[in-house]
Amino acid sequence: MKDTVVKLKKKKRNSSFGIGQGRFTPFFFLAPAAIVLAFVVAYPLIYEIIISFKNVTLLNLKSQNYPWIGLDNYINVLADSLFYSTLIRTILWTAINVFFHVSIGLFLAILLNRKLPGKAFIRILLILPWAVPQYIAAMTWKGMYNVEYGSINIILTKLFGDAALIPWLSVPSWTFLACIITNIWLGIPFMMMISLGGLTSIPEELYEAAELDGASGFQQFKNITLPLLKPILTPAIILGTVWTFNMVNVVYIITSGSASDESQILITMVFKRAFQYFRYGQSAALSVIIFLILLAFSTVFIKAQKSDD
Amino acid sequence: MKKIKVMIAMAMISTLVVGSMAGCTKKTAVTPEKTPAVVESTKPVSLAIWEQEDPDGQAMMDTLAKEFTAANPKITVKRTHYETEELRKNYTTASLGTTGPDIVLGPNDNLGVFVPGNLVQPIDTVVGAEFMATIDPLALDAAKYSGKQYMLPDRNGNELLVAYNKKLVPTPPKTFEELEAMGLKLKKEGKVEYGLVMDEVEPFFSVPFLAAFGGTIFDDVNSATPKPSLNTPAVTSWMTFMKRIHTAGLIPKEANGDLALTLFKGGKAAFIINGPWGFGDYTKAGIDFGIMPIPTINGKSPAPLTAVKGYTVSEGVKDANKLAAVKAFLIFVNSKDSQLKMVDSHQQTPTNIEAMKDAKITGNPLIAGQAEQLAKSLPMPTITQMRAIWDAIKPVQQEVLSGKTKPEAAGAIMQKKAEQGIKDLGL
Repeated sequence: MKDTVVKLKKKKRNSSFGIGQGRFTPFFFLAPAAIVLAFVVAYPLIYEIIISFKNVTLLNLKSQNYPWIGLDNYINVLADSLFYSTLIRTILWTAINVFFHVSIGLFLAILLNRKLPGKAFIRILLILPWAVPQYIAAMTWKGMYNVEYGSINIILTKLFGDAALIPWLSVPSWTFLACIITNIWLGIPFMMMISLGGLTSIPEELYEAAELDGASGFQQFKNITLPLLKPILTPAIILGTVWTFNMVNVVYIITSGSASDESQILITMVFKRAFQYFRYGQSAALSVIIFLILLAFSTVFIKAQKSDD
Repeated sequence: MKKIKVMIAMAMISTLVVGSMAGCTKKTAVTPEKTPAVVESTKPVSLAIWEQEDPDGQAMMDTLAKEFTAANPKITVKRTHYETEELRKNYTTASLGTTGPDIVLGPNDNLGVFVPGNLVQPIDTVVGAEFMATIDPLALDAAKYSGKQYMLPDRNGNELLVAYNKKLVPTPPKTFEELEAMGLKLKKEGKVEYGLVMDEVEPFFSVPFLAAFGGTIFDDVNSATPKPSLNTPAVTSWMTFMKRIHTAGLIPKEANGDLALTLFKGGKAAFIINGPWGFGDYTKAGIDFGIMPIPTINGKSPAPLTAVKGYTVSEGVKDANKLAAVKAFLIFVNSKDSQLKMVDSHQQTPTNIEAMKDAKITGNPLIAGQAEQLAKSLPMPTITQMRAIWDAIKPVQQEVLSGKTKPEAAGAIMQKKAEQGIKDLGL
């Protein structure tokens, strides 16, 4: 009896320090991350939006005296026919890449989601593309695409004869395909791991029940796997889309600095305009446009997924 | 609770917005400046240098920096390495802050970016006229921009020339036609993969041939608004020539600088068009090589573009102490002995007049031999517009070699791209 009274007294004293669940405790826990995010993400983003309305070039960069020119940068970007052709190419690039990322990643995840000898070893091998730094991977693939000494053409000519020689890096349309292949190889592990995590969270009983009811493998996949993976795949697809849309490394390296206008995507255009032509204001406007495109896509995609439920 | 959340969110956003707005109107950086008094050489100073040397040059700079600090204990030298394009990009962005380097060692076409961007100050006032008199005036000329001396050159060259494998080529050819015949013969005999290798991606390596066909890049490089002159019959001849040697199998189907170097170092190519920076690599690979100017085509000599490389001082270096340290360092590193040491790594002609007369230079056939090519070369334009020129030529050359564009059509496309590029640069 006396002990419980003492315990109650102790409890009261602790809560009067205010360290317990006060109204502002969550903010204190979030504060460090919020501060870092504010400096690393929010500040540059807002700064970029601001300079997209100003004229910033090499000539006035240092003086920090940037005249306000309103929507001129945006009009310049949107009036350029190169923007639209590059936009279509970027959308094509993103769609093809994400489609193969998800389908091959999901396929591999389903294969791995069972008793396999050496599963851990296979998983490590399949993660390797993700583990290798993108720059190194792109340089290596570029070496493999050389028309004469690259391993890909050597294998092709050994299998199919000399007519199979593909000018990967000389012709822009082939270069685009080369970038796609490299990026698919780079992006599969991420989707595979996400799908694998999602698959292991689907309870076995559902599949057993479906088998008892006589559902085929494909029907099980369509009616159990896909719907239950949706909440996990949706953010992964959005992430994958945003990352692929802005994949500057692979395209810049394989096209040797993106000199040809016919093999670049929007983000390499931003890079060139900003750092080789010093049109900081204009590339900021282009970046904001890319941001709005991706924001619109994510919003529409999430809404579409929610309405399906 | 919701109200407080909204209030805090509004407060944070408005702080950010106001904070960034404040940044926009600031005109000068906030570093406190010391009043320039008597130069006290007793205060410790740290100099930051950025460079884009290859590994031999980096090692040599570290050695020189150590010697300098031993003689001037109060001055520490910190060296950072960047690749050429990265250096230019990072230096431009660093100008917005206060942590940029004090000295940059780079090629003179950097001036086309640094001077319009107000990133560097005239260097003759920093080192003094007395020291300037010890440097080769021709090199000094190349390091000027708009008539002012912004760079202190430490080497003159950067030119392309032909290096040949003495084992495969006992007597060097006298004309390009001879070179072509030799190269194709060696390939037919199976002694080489390709007779001639060169970087086929960067137009810097093929532009020497333009001069052999009588073409020029700009109509007048020195005018206030130079215009590209790429839509000319000379360009058609140049592109036809490139396509011809490509189809004939003299040069590889696709080659970047690395591939060319690998083939030549492996003894699988007889000739390479490259610069003196490659000599060290060939020696390490055990190739016994000789050098010669790019031979004449139809009797006319190709003219590679030469450049000087040198030191520039950042505009923000105003403190008297620092300026004194910078002056001391530049004088030390461009003295006869230091320049001769650097020659070991870059194998080009130094600019210190005494160093140029030294037996190490005049007696070394690999360096003295460059004089012949240098005499036939043209100075590379350092104006900002060159970026538009390279970006115009690069994709068109690639398309000509791949067969997508006909050489006759190349000139017009290059001209259009170059003019668009110059407009994009805002010039």
